[in-house]
Amino acid sequence: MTERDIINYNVRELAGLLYSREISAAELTGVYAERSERLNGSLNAYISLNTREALRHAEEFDRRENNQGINRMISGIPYAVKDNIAVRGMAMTCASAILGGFVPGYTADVCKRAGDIVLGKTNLDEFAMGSTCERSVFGPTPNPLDKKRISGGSSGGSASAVAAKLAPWALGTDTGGSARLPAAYCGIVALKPTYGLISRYGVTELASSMDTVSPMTENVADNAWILDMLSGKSPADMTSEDSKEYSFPCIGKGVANLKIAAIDCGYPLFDRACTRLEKAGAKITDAGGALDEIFERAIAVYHFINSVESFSNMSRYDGLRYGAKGEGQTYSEMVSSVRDRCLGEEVKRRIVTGAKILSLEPNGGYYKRVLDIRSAISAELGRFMSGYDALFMMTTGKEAPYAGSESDLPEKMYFMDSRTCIANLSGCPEISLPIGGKEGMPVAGSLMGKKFSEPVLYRVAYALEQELSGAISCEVRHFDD
Amino acid sequence: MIKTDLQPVIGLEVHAELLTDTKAFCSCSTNFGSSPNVNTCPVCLGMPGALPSLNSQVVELAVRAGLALGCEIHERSVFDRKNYFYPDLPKGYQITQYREPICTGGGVRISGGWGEKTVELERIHIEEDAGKLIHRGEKTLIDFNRAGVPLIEIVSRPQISSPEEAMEYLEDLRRTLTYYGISDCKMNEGSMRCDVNISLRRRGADRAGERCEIKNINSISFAGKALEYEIERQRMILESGEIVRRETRRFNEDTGKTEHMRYKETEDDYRYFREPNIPVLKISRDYIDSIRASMPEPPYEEICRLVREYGMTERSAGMIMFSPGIYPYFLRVAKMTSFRIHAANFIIGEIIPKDKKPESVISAEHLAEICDMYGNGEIVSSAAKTLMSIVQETGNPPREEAVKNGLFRIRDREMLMKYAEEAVAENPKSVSDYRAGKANAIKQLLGSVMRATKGAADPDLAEKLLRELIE
Repeated sequence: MTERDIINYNVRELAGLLYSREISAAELTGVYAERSERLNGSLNAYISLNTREALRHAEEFDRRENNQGINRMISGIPYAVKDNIAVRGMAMTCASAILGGFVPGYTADVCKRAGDIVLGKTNLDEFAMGSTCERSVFGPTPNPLDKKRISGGSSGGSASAVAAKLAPWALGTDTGGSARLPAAYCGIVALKPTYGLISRYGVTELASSMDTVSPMTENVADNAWILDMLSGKSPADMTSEDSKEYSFPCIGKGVANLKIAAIDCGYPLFDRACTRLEKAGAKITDAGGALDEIFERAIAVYHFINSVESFSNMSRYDGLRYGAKGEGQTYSEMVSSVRDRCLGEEVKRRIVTGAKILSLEPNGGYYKRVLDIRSAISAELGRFMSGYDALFMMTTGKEAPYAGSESDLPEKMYFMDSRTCIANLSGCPEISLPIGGKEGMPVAGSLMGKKFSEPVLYRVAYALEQELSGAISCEVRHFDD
Repeated sequence: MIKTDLQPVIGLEVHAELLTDTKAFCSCSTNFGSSPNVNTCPVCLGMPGALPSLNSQVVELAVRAGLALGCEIHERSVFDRKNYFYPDLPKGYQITQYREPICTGGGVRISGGWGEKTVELERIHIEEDAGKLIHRGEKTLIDFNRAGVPLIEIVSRPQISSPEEAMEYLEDLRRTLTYYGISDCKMNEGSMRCDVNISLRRRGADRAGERCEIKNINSISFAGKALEYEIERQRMILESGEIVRRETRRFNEDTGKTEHMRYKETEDDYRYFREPNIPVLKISRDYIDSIRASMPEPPYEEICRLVREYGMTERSAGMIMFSPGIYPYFLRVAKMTSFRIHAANFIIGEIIPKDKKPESVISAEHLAEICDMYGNGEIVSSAAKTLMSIVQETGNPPREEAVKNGLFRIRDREMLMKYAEEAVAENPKSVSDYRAGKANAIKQLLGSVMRATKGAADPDLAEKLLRELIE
């Protein structure tokens, strides 16, 4: 099979080919490894490549006798991993100088489930704090469809790797939109799962009460199939939970009589998507500005919580036990020097903001009220959602911005998460997928649902994808290497 | 007199390491005295993404402590982060329980100045220990073996009014925690430490003066000395018309004095907030009841029971009950053998002196089996001791080892006769001594037979045979 043949197969087709032994994991991995080596120079999707180890693991996979069912084929398919997820023996940087030289001796639960064939670790905003993938110590990851534009962040490297077919699929993380946003800008599919559905063990903490791991894929069905492989309770993450129902078997069930609230009517591409869903049998309600106020409060509360939790989560980087080392005669000199030298501006901003919020009133009284508002938002959202199966909206206001245009002011970047962060705040799942194109760049819609309603979201997303695939392939330019 | 006009107001915060096999949030060993940084993993070293996973034994022991001290056990409690930088604190925060601790209320009974009095408890909460700093000249090294070891902090109300009462409080707490197998309370190993808060109040005044905190005292008598010194120090300040400044002090064991560490004008800002990685801890009434049911009677009643039912002396019963980690072990052994008095004697003679976790010397099952074998007369007491040390090394079942090493009581006349003949042949001096009228020389010959049989010979029969041979 040629490179072109192989990269045009989707993940489930690859699993089928592995299962029937029409292709070997080594052959498959070889193609993606070679491609990644060749193209990463101009794309900067990967921080580090791991192609030789990936090939070794692929050969091991091929040697294993009859690898059980087709679902186990996931571990024969190479994939890319965002560089804030630990894989034993591979350097993990979180795109920060402070983790220079750190090689974890442990593997994240999610990578144990996804298998050993890791092509490389992908770029991100430092410690996943950002929405543009421009705040990495390894330089920005541009949008593969138009390199003058951003890939989006923080999981820009993973989004780029999938969009440019450097990997059949990739892992990202999503704390406020970090997987959905770059997926939207690069024209791929990302799920922000229900909080706890995928174990966070081994995933570098940003805001622990909102962090999730995201499968990032070219299409909806691959995403559902992979989610089913990755999800479920793990003893290493006390907040993890089992899903009640698998997603992949549900995708083809159609959308007849599903109740969907749409809140961005008026945008032509959004309206087209609504019409197609209606045609397929869904009941669409124009909910207009019903949630405007909640969204407005959500973005503020989200940034408070994000700052507080990242302040605390970042405290472990003191240069004593791993990563970059500080200098000085005393402990506090050593800690200050390494953090001053090695942490980026945005990371420092959140640390200072978080510390300040917790100190505003004695005993964290102020922050307690923030958490009360968080509960109120979740409750209000819950009441609204009780009448619907899904909430449909635009993932972002517009297609991928030009490089440098969004990250000059922090507030501007913060508002990029204004639609996405409510899913993290409330723990609800949300999937982002392309719904059309403008000036050749993808435009994306998002479907949010109740906790653990991934199967429903995939049904709607799958139907939408089927309805729109023709239009999208005309409207969105293709990555051309 | 002015002196008696100033009364001490004392509150104690006691940290006790729980007797768990593994740390609070990871599966590293809690063993004391391992080489530095051996008992560590990504979780207790605070590596990125290495999430905590609460050890259920921690909850069990904290509930046990709450029940032993008469606290209210909360079905819902919450873990928080206490944020501060210190080199021995890997994550930059300590996981503790701040707003909603697992236990509140309860008390410790002490004799007090005018008869019995109860010092009420504010709370008991669960938290993790930090690592240890080791200063070597210019350098400071860090040992993270202790980082993540589970603690309970027992906070008293400020109801203690003398150093003697404080010492009695600590003594009683130590006995209770040890007795119920909650902590081994070895203050020299740091598994029980205390911070004392002390201020002086003018008689009749409704408020006490500013308080001083003396941190990290690691013996009960030091706590008494530190308080005595501190009471005098504060008294002199107050009597000279000055005011006591709020501060944190430490006790210098060499000088017997307390020393200034830092002034504390305001509450420390630890920026507490909920630990998002640990869900709210919910425990059911049934669970609490099951722990209550598994706990022995309170110490005094229990001593009486041991004396009455097992025929122990009060002294033995006390040793079994108040040696760290021993009592729960004894109860496990006692469930498996009917020869409990033997179990008690072996524990007192062979296990307590080793000062280790009893299970690490010999498992309860194995000890029970040895007690049975001894009690049934299958082995003699010297063989039982030999067997214990063999089993301790190999970990194999005692019966198996007894067969392998030929330790069953040798009652076979012919066989013993051979050993006796050998002993007589090899020890001509003892033989002639005996014949010369030194009756005790027979013991040397007997010892030789016992050694040759690894302690398995029936000593009465062996002695009889030796006499026959010589006479």
